[in-house]
Amino acid sequence: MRRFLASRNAVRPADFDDVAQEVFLRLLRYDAAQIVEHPQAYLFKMASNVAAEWSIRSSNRLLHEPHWLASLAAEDSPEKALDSEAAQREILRALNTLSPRERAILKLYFEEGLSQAEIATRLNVSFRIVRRDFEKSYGKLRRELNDELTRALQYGHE
Amino acid sequence: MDTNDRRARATHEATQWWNRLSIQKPTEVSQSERELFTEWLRESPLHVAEFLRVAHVHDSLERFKLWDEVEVGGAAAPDNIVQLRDVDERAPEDAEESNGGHEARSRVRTWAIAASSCLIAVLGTWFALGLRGDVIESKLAERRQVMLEDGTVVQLEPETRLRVKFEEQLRRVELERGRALFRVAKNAQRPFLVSADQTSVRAVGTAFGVESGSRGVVVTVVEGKVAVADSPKAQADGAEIFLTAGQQVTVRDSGNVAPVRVVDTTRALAWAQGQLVFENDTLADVIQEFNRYNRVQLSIDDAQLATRKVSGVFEATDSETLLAFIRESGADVSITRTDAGIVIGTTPR
Repeated sequence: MRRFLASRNAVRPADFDDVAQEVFLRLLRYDAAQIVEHPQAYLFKMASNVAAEWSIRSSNRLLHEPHWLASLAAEDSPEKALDSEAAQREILRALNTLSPRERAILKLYFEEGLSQAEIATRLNVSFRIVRRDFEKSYGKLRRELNDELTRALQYGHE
Repeated sequence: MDTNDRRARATHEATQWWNRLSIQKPTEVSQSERELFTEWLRESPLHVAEFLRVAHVHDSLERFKLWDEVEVGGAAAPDNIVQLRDVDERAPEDAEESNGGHEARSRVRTWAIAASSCLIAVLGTWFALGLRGDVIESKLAERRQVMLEDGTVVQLEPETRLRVKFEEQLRRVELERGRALFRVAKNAQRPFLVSADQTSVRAVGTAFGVESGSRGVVVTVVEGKVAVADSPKAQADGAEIFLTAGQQVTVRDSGNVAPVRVVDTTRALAWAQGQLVFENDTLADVIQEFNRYNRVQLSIDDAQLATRKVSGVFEATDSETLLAFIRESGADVSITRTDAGIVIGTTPR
């Protein structure tokens, strides 16, 4: 799973729709039976390939522009991009738009590493509530998070 | 549906998939779930895009470091204040969850995913059935959903016939043939009674399936509790069998009642999501079942082939997959397409 997370980072949020178009077409070209074995792995690998190809194309085109090169260098590490103060503040802001229980659930999951079942016990709510809140909060964050500030994902990554 | 709705829906489905595949039990994702997920991805670029975005949300949270600054309010305390904070959105659902409604809810959601992936067209129709003894009927290859005047939703499978007789004190439905899933609107003052043959099923507010066929009458409860009586006399005497969620009972035509079984309702009621499940059933039975759901009729012209046993889960409207399955199960199978339908036979040696 780790590896897929790494390859996911080749895509910038702003480009998701474009990348998705191309990935979608590739998914249709592949044999479904093959994809079914590891659908997520295939998806992320394709997304990362698409992004890498585009990155090569665009960096060739813009190679002479020092400004572009500098910005590429600055984004060299995806971790670094998300570690930036602005990105962290943006995530914090987005989290604060969630309900207290949704925040508590995410905090227990990501900070304390509890499973959803353990969170349910801890908060004294049903497992289904935890699961639903989880899904809901991801949906809210997807709308709330500012892509530009959290651009964890970049071109040209392995 | 406009673009925003489609996007919102794709986001919602993407969060569900992400949760199932990546958060809950990444090592225990079943083949069929992976198949459904792959199908879902291949349905639309929007699905691909939203899944990538949800993955990005997850990444962002994984790399987030300021959890100390995240206020959780009173949410961690047992009697939390959450419900007061956003009561509009949450309270009704939670109220239901606490008394057992969640099982059905998640199942409904699973069904929704399955239905959208498999493109099963279930026609939804609103019926205002005011008169007594109204007949609701579905034809060959027709599935429909009907809302009764009390808000109860009935899902009719093909070749099913119901007679609805609502009285002041009692909501009565006779299942004359076929099978149907009932999501009964709650009304404690006015019980809901489904009868099939001599068997009756009494419910207050619940969801359950009733099948009337060659095996007898099969009652499966998804949510809540029902009382089953195998004869009008038993009902009058109060000699009822109580079933709760996840239980099933079969009343044979002769009137004898099989023991109550605990079943996986998703599987036992697979027909309600347009799937047919077979376990060691003869090919003849399988084909009969398929023919109820499809206009193109299948037939077998080989008596020995007809007794061959089949196990598997099939989309009810996808007879091609069934045919491929049969073909693969033996080299001697021939499939002939005629104007009248598809004939399955054996190849002459």
